[in-house]
Amino acid sequence: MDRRDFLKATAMATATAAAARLAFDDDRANAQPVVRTTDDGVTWDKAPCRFCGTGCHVQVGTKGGRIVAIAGDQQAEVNKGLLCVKGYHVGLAIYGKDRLTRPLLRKNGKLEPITWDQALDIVADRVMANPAGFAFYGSGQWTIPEGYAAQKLMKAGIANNQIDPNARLCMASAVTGFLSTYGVDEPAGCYDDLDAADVILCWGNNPAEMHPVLFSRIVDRRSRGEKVILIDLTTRRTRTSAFADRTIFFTPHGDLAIANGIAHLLLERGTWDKDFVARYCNFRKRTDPPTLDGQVMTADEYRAALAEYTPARVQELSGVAPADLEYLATLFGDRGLKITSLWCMGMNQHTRGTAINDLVHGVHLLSGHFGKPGDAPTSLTGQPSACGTVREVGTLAHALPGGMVVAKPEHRKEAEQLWNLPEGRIKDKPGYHTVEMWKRFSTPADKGGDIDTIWVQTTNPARSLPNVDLLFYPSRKIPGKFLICSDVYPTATAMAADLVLPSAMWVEKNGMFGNSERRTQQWFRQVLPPGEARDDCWQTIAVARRLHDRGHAGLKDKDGKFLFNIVDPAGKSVPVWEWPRYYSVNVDEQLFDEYRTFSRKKHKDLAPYREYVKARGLRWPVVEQADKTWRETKFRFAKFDDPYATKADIQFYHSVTKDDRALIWFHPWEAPPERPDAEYPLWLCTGRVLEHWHTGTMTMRIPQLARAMPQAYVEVNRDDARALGVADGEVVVLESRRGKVELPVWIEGRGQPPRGTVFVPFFDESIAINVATLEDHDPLSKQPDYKKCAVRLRRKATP
Amino acid sequence: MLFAAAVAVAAVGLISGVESSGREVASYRRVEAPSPDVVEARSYRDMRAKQYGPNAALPAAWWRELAAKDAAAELPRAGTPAERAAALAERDGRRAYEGAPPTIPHAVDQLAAPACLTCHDRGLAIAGKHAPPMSHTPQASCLQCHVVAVDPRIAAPAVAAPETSFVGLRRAGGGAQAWTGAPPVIPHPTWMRERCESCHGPRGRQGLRTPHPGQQSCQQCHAPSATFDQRSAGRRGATP
Amino acid sequence: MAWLLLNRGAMVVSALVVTLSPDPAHRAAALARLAADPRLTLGTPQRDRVPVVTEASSADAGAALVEELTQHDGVARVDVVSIDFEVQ
Repeated sequence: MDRRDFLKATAMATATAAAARLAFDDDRANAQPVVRTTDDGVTWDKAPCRFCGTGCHVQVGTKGGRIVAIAGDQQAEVNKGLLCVKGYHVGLAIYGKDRLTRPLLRKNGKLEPITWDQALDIVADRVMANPAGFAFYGSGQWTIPEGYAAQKLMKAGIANNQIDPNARLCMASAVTGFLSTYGVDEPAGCYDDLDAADVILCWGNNPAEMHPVLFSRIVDRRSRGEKVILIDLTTRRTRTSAFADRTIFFTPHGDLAIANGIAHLLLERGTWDKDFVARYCNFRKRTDPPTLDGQVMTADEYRAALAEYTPARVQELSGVAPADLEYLATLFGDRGLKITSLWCMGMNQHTRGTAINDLVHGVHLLSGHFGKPGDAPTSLTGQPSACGTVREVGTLAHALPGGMVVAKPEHRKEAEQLWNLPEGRIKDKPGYHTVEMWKRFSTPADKGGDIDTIWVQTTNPARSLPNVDLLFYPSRKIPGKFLICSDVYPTATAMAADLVLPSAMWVEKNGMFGNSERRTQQWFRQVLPPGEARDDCWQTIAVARRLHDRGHAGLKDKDGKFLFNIVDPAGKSVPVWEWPRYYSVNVDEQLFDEYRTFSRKKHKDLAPYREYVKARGLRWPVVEQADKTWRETKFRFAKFDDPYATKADIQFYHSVTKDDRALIWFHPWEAPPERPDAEYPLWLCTGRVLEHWHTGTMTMRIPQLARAMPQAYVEVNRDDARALGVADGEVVVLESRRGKVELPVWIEGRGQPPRGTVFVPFFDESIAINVATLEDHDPLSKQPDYKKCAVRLRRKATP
Repeated sequence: MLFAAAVAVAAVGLISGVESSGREVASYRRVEAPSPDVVEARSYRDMRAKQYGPNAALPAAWWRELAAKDAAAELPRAGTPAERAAALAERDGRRAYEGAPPTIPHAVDQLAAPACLTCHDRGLAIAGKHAPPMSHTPQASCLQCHVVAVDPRIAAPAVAAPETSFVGLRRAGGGAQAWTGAPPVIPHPTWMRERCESCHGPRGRQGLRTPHPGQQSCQQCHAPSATFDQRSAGRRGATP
Repeated sequence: MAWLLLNRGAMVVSALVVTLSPDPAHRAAALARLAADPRLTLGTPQRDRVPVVTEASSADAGAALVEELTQHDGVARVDVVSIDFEVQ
């Protein structure tokens, strides 16, 4: 090469490097996905973690078609390279020895292998035989396209609205709380609030174990010299309490009184934010029977209703000392402090869940702690995509995508237009909510049990439903009831099912999740599923196609096209219901880009699929800018950040009262349906531990996690144990009016319950604590209460 | 004994100081024994004898070792291949894959914010057992990532560990060297491994210890890898 | 050989980054025009940024070329990354 060529080559290299830097480095978050190979031949690609609603991003390391390592994704804003012990071991979740690899049909009581064709025919047979009795039970662990496919099948195809998710059991009250307060679902703030808050108040949750990466984001601020006050408002001492500046114990159900007590003191002292309330809020009271809309309440009525909740009365109802209540009220009365409230199952799994959610939003609105970074009432989600799939796609018996509902004619019309359906295809009658769906499934047809088939995907109702001996197991003995279970391991549900469909898991398929801070995240398939396991989304589309081919009119749109018409780049239909063709195009991309047309209506705008490929997630509303980039929104309803809040500094543009105002509700304290009494003298609370996810079907197959926490137990207070005469480690019988389990005692192990309460984690399939829990639910959200029922303990030796 | 005497003197003083009131000595209030729930403070002399918490399980031999010369101290030298292999095997046993947070091989307080830094900030080596200094800057919530290796409950029945077909990444090799004697490139991410002395310092396992602990600024000579550190795309892998 | 070099005179090689217009129609036309220009060597476009190498007889001629490129329809901006002077 001569000198001239050398100079030109050098110049080209320089120009290319500069062009690449200018093109890709202008926005770090939107940089190309780092699919890279390290020096040891491992290929790394991004994915959100499979587990909780925090939505950490991981880097998955694969070699030879298998996952060999996991790393925290340093470019992810959520977790900045950090993970928790479950996240570090998420790669092992797919490698348990007993993965389901073949479809199985129960013949003469035993599960026998069959082919996929046979399995799909069986599902289609059940639908055609009784479409009205066919229901879909889905999950907050569904990917967005999976949930969307099931949603479209049940709302637009079979069109009986019988689809409800396990998220009914975890987030439904948070949803009704948001809807009744702001008119639209999901938090206004985001995780950035955790970095800015002066006070973090945990209402009945245990983030040190349940949202560990968010928790350390808070407590690690202290290591940097920042002052952040952590207050643990709790019914039992947990690891969160260990880090708290102040731990305030309350009796179960007392949270209602505490919230009212704070509001009462704010009014009494005059430290509520009169200006904020005057500009941005209305008061609201209940109707009878209760509705999400409620009715007008004057300020005087509000004040009068709260008069009862003096510190003394609050102490009666909750056990909280007046000094502690006054402390909380002083904090809320201080406009100079930024306060973030965090909550999860303690407030949601509650027979007055909508009420307590409303009241906590109300305390923030009343005191003006809203709309600035750090001032936020933030509901945390348990599952990785309860927000992204269930709440946003609307996979609930009453909902349509984009925050619409089947009950409203204008919503049905819009959905029919977006889905190109003939008018009237979508039915106006909501399907059954979870507890009702399973109750009817477990009731004979001649006694009103009109659900005869349930298809379960990605969840384990045999262990996670409340009162399983009422809602789940009777169905297994009623002839004519057929349970289909798509799962990855032989879970308790799969082993009780009539038809088992082996499914692909996490990075064995393409997917998308939406986390607690409205961040939609995408990943590509990185390893292949074992045996004949196949994507849940494919299973749904394949069944839909069977129905279409058998002439079910619902599976065609207005123009006769199949509801799941996936096309190649030239626009020609691809038969993705044939498994070898499923990955010849990106089905996720087409389903998502179809679904996103629904997202504008309630300003939950989603960007096109390709933007999520590039990013470590984007928080909606994601709005296109003039230069064709996409801008996410961190703080909704606030003019400084939300492009849709234009008329005032704070604008609740989906206001229930249609005047851009949020609602401050009053709800009274009301007794729970079951309280300890002479016969059953202890409160039972159920929940989780750090190491295990839900019913443990994945994490109990990961050695590091299973060895660290191999078995469930009942946490007993030391004095109660002495009074009962039980020793640490002794196996006892725990029973409620509904059922009993035998399990070992752990005195003040992972948590310290106060006298008169016990705690049992539900990760152990061999200790099915949900035989004892109560199926009573919140009247509006239909979410049951796993945190409170009455039990008794006795030594096993005693007859 | 002394205490009883003091009480007696005080009582005598009280009685003699008080004019006869007609009340019996026996009716004076007895001093209650301390509640069994109150944990009695230990004197230094009793420290070894009256253990509680996870330290209660420490063998007596270790206390003797602490009092003796630090047996683990030796002159810095390069480890033998056998020592290196043993060190790596022990390391790997605690980690699901290269880069996983190690499990804790001892009991910890399950409920409190544990005092891990007591041993793991500077590190500790006693009688062949060693508490490595942590490899990353201290974070507040240790148990978020590090869980115990065995069941944390006392009197717990044995439960078999689940079977898995997962084979974790292991890195056995040292870093690449540009020429014989060149400082090897760091063959692992430096994320969460900023404190090199954790594995390579004088309290690390023999076999991984650096032969030149006097040099404190490791990355002056040992280059990190941009691909390991998620800073570069490297060679492109499979993309759908 | 030497004669060729002597006759060539001073040579200015510049590395540029040409940023194309966001409008797709203008962009395509601009790219075609750049590709057809014999004075330019184009590299692989990175999104809307095209690496370009130019060769001019003098520094002034090089500057004039950059100015000319900036006036093209469909070119949003031109960044000069480096200039190499070959002095005889």
